[in-house]
Amino acid sequence: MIRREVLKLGAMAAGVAMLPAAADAAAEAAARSAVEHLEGFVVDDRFPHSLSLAEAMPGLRHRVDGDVTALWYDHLDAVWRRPIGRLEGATGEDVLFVLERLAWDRGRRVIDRRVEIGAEGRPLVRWTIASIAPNAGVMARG
Amino acid sequence: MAILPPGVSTKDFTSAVEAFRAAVGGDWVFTGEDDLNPYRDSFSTVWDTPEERRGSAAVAPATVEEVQAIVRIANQYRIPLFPISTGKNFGYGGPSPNVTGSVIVDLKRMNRVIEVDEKRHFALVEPGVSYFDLYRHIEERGLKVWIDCPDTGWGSPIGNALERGIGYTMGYFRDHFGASCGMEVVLANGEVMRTGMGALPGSKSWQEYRHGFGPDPAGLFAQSNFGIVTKMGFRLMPQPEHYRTGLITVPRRRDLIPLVEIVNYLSDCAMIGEAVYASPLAPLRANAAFQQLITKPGGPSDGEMDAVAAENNLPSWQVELQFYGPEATCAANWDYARQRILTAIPGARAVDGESLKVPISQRQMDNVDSPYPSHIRRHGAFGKPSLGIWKIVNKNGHVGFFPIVPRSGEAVFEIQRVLGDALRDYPIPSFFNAITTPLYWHSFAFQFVFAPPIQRDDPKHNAMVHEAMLKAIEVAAKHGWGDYRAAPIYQDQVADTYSFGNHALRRFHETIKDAVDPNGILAPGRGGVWPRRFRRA
Repeated sequence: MIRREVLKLGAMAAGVAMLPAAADAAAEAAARSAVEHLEGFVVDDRFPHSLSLAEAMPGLRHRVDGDVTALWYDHLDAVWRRPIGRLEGATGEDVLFVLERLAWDRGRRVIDRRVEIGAEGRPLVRWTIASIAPNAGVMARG
Repeated sequence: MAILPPGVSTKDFTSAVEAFRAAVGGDWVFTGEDDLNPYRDSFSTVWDTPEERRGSAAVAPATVEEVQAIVRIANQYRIPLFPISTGKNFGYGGPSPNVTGSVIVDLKRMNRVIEVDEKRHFALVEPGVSYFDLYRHIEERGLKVWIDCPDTGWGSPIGNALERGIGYTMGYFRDHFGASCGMEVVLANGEVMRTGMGALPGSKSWQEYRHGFGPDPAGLFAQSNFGIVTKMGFRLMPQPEHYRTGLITVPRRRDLIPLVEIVNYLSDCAMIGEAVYASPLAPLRANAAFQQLITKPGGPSDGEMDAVAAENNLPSWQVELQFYGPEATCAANWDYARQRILTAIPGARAVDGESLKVPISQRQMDNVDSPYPSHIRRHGAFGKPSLGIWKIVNKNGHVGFFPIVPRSGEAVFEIQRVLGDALRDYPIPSFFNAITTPLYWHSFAFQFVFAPPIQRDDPKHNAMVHEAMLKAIEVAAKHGWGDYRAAPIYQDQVADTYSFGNHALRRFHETIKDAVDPNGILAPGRGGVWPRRFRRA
């Protein structure tokens, strides 16, 4: 379902009509480019395993301790006004709960979610949030 | 389209959705399951059961004119609408409607901060503006005014005020609906109405005098379904020069009674901000014998509790006081409060807290340098939006019953005992026991919290929580304590308890509803107010 939406909305972003074959290819390309840009990786300081996962990732790291206020106010609120990109992270469920709902408001969805048990015995979620809607930024700006 | 509005055919619903698309643009009408997931109540006790309240579609207008168009279409097809602002009303139903099949009117795109006046201390905003948005608008311009913010900053000042939400600064501003001033409303017939001075063309005091002339219907739009609020004004607190805190402790259980009376006086004279009560005995809950004592049927005696406090060399109660204003008046008010309490209550003690020049540093905002363990939510006390509260809430969340209780020590003891006894048999944390303290969030009343956790993958647990919620509502009402705000799934039960005069209030609401919304399209059931076509015989 997510893939269907990515295709459909990617096509809208590219300004192409939803026609068979060529349209599908264009849509897929637009959708791919929309999510290829990695905005960063969210590290949850409460989980050492999250830190080790982050070391393997390129790009910007955002550190949280369960409270995403600063991440939202100082970074994502502006970045997620652009209808492109994906954010990855390995965090507690509480962090993802908040980020997922903020993502919904900006035309983004959790497109990958895997629950692991952290070394601390608590669930650690490895996730990806990606833009699926070309109008995401419009939603933010009104 | 798996879900349809009640009594609406697939053909009519399809036509209505097409009309919505024509009104707001195809990108802003949502009907797919994935697109509608965000409009479910994440904290629902009936998740994925037939009882869960779910929308059939969502439509996101950007202008007042588009809201008017949506209302007219809904009238044509008799489709119930459920307006939301930012839809973050978690614990109270989130964005989910009272009636399954309602079309969610998502107002997030109406997100303009229309005006902030730092000389006359007000803001005028649209419903999609969040606390973060308004705070940023003020901060970026360096304006010397504060907002008053609830626990989570992603909510909307309009949505929160219409839910009668509360905050953490001075009493006048903590009551978010009470601090509102002037609103614009799209009525069920599609007309636009302004309240207060906004009804006077050319008036420039819409956000300064809320009443205008004649009856003021503004209160009818809170927790109700008489219109869709598209603009609302709010009084803002002038940024104080200084902030000071202090701690008072009292030795005996019964000392809570005079302590509350004095703190009420300080609050009602606007000398203090939110007073934060707590029990210094709380750490003893790790001791099984103490836990048994504070939860025993009928409650412990004063003597038993005083003996425990004495044995452990702990006070029975404490209250943290907060002062805002010029440095000299903060100090003078703290001096007055301390002297008055220490004189009235033998054995009471006072401890100086922090004395901070505003604006404060990030470290001071983190509240880590208090000379005693502090329960103050400092972000809230400074009107700074936060999402930090979610650290203590897991993805399964909670539901909430928040009874309004008189501001007296006697009332505190009574609700501790009554709801402690009533809820003892439910396997959930003890929210009511002999050391439970009141919340001073409302300006002139105490409030208590019953917020049992939800386990989405455990329907049996949720059914137990649901039963406990109903029991709490029922027992509290028998003692004169009513809920101040409820999720759609509990609104009928709560409204039922406000039954004076054979439900005269409900019948009055229903009379208004039938007159202003004859097709019953606006949020049927919200606040326990059902339009004629939805009312049971």
